[in-house]
Amino acid sequence: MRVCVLGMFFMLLLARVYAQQDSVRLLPEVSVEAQRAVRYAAGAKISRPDSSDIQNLQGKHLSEVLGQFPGVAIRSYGAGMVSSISFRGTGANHTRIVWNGINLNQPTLGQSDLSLVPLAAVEDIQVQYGGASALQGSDALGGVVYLQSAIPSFHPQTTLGISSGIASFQTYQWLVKAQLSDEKWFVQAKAYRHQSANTFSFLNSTRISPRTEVQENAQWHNQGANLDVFRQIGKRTVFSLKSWYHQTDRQIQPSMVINGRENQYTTQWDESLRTVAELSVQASNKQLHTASLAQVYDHLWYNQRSHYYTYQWVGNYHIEQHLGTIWWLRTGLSGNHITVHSDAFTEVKQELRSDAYASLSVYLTPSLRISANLRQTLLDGYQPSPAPSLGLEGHWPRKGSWQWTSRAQVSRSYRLPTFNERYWPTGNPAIRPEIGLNAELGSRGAYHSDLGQFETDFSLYASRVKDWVIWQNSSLGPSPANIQEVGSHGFEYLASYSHSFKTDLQGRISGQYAYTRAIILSENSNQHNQLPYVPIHAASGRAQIAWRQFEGQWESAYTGYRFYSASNDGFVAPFMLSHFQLAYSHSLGKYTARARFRIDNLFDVAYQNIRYLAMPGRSFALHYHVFFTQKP
Amino acid sequence: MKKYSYFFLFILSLAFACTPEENTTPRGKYQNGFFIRNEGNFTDADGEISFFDFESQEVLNRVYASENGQDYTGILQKIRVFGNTTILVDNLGKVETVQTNTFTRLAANEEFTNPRDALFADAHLVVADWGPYDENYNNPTSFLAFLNPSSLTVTKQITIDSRPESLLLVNGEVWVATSASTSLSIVSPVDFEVEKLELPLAPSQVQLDASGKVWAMSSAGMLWKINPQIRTIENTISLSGLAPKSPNGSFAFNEAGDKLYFMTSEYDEFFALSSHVFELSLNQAQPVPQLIAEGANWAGLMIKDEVLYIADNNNYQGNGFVHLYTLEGEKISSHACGRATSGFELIQ
Repeated sequence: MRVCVLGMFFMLLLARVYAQQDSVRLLPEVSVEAQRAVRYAAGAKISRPDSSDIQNLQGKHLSEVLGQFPGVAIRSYGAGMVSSISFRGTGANHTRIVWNGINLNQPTLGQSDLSLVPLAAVEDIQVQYGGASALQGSDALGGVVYLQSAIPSFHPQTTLGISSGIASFQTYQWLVKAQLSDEKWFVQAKAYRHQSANTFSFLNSTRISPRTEVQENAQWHNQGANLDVFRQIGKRTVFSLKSWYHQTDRQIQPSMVINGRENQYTTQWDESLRTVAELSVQASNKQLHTASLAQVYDHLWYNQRSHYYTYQWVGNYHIEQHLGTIWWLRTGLSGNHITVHSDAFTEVKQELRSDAYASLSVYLTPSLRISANLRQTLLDGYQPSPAPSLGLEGHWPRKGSWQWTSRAQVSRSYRLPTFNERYWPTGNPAIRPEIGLNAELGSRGAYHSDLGQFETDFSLYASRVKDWVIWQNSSLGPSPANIQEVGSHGFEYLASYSHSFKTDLQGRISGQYAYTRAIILSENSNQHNQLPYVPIHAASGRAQIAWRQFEGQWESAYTGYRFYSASNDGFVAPFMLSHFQLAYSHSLGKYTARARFRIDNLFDVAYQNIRYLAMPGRSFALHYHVFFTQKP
Repeated sequence: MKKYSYFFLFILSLAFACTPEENTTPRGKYQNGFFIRNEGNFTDADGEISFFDFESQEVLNRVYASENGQDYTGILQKIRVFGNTTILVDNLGKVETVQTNTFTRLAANEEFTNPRDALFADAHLVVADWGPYDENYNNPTSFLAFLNPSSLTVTKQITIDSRPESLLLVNGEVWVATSASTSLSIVSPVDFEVEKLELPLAPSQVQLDASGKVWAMSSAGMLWKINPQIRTIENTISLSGLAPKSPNGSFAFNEAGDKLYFMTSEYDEFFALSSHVFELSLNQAQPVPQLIAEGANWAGLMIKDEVLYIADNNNYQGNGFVHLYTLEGEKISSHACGRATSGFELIQ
């Protein structure tokens, strides 16, 4: 603690010293949280999907996009069912999901269900690999996913749009979106609904005499609405209000073993309302003050029996300063008050988590940047050690048509114990925060010439998670304990090549591969084994072609075998899925229309993400979008 | 000569026909040892059977898959050996019979709801099923099913007190420990009449000792010795003094029949899980439990030839183990088994 306070003091001292210097650089712009955060993430691998990816997967969930990133594993418990994410061999509660600056992870479970985030509700996605607690706080041991609900632009424009789709297994979807903006206002409103009977056929290999069955008791629907309002006040102040209501009602898809069994399924109802108000003020040419207040409500109703009501207030204030010509500094405080009402706990549980943090980014030379971050969380009884990170990023001198960027980062992260770990059914009062250590190197190259554009990226990493919480099972009931340690290492490689053959014909091919070893280090019978459900090998490839108003896309993704037990003597079979898509766009004056036909799992491969949870075979989807845009 | 030959064959066929069934049991691969119940993890349904060979002192794993060419696929709740027929009870809804010495499948019924135990009684295979859960996680419609022992089709079904957990055949009647009611149910497999023996606490396991007395155990920490002839409790032993150690329901007798061994689980102040095996001397009316062995994640025990066999589920994290101890508590050896090793069934 003393070290942390000294560190914070040192940061603040630096801020005061360098604040006295004149600045010739641009002021910190009023920007979204993700952009602000990654400014201090030099050395970290940060990726974002193509905007076409989000567009092409409309009607699906966040997991479909995130699963395309190398080194990211999605554990999906069925189509439309609970989906968790893990980076580079870490666990399901080692990723922080940030929506407009707010952590979406449930305080009770410590993780997010990606199936509760339809792509219709987000406009921008960024992914940061590696430990990031110094920047973002608890849970960010493996990585961070940044979600933005709106990208504001203060130009006069009106956009109205409707999108609708129909797909196999009685799946339907619609989205209505409106945007109004001028020099002072940006308003975006959306409403969506998505539902599926999920009645796909599969070969039930668990029967004594295997047979084809229709999946039963797995239907779901979700609906929601977003409202984003931005108001520019004068030249230096922006106020924003972002709100998102979402509700999902579903049957939890049963295992193949009990498919079709009467009374043998469970249900889950999820409802949430998140609202963030934020004020950003440029106090001077060197300082940006940002204050935000958020209210988060979550209701999980499991099997029409157990209720979890979670109410959170999140306050945050930080100052971002541009010091001299090369220094950027951000210092801030945040508080998170959590109240949980649940029949799973003996009483109402409340707590206040407070964070103090500082981030520094320095351009040592115009092409060499260093970032240092430090965060301390205060939580009675479960206080983690300070979380620091240090990163370096540099551009190599251009050689011909090649441009290379290299990066390196080390970090220490943490995950605070969840409410369930502390209180359910009796909890473990002696539970400690999990600690993550991470180091990585990477390089990105780009080649631009008349022959086309070639891009490549390579990352090498090693990490360790200590005091990993495992739930113990006995006749006394479940209880969590810090009894596991896991070390991970691996690499990711991706390459893409694009070329414009003519003005109206472009093509692009890309491929990627991830090697992930997540090794159990604890001294027990499973020592040196691979962590369950972490594929050692994963690869994918994609070919795209655009000709006039037509677009075609083929992609194939391979997921290697995954052990389902820590003893590594049984595995879920590897699989390769291929998808095909054809789209046609047409503009007529102020109207733009786009129709898209997609075939998922083209070769009707029988596969499982989780052992004995059936996944759909070949499916077809047809979507159309119509947008009206008016500019003055 | 031909006439004598026919007579000789006739006499020979009579001899085989009259041989008691237990003597016709062919010797096979799974004969001199016991089966190990690897319960499996719920989400992976990877229950399996291992076999411990007394002669080689080695464990053979994945017995079902290797003998039947497909995974067992289930949560193995119970194994019961009756001569050359073994019953496998899968908590996910399957009751299956296999030939004991080869472990090849004889018949299966995949239509149960929540089966917990099974045995042969009279001309039936009797299955105890908790029935479905209601909205309050109770099982108000538990039942006993009576099956044709060859085809495993249900011929009769009767309701029973909630959560029939353990079955025992005593003098031709089926004794049922129902863990959600404070009584033992005694069922006639002939006329399906049910009688009850009231107990102060809900029983979770019933067993027969060498003298023909029924012992019932409650996980709440109580043992009862019952005279099955007159259906009265002869002795009550309270184990509540061991708290916070809590019996997990598993107990066994030594071969002399004068000692009972039972298992407990406990979370310490740091919530580390520990398990213990205690010995009770049955020569005393109120014996004091004597600690024999200590470990973690222990789920079941068995005694054979003065050796204590302990099932270690390894907290469902990877494969479990069978540990061998002397009855004085000295460890002899350990052997890796399948997922969530939970109990044993002796072949005899």
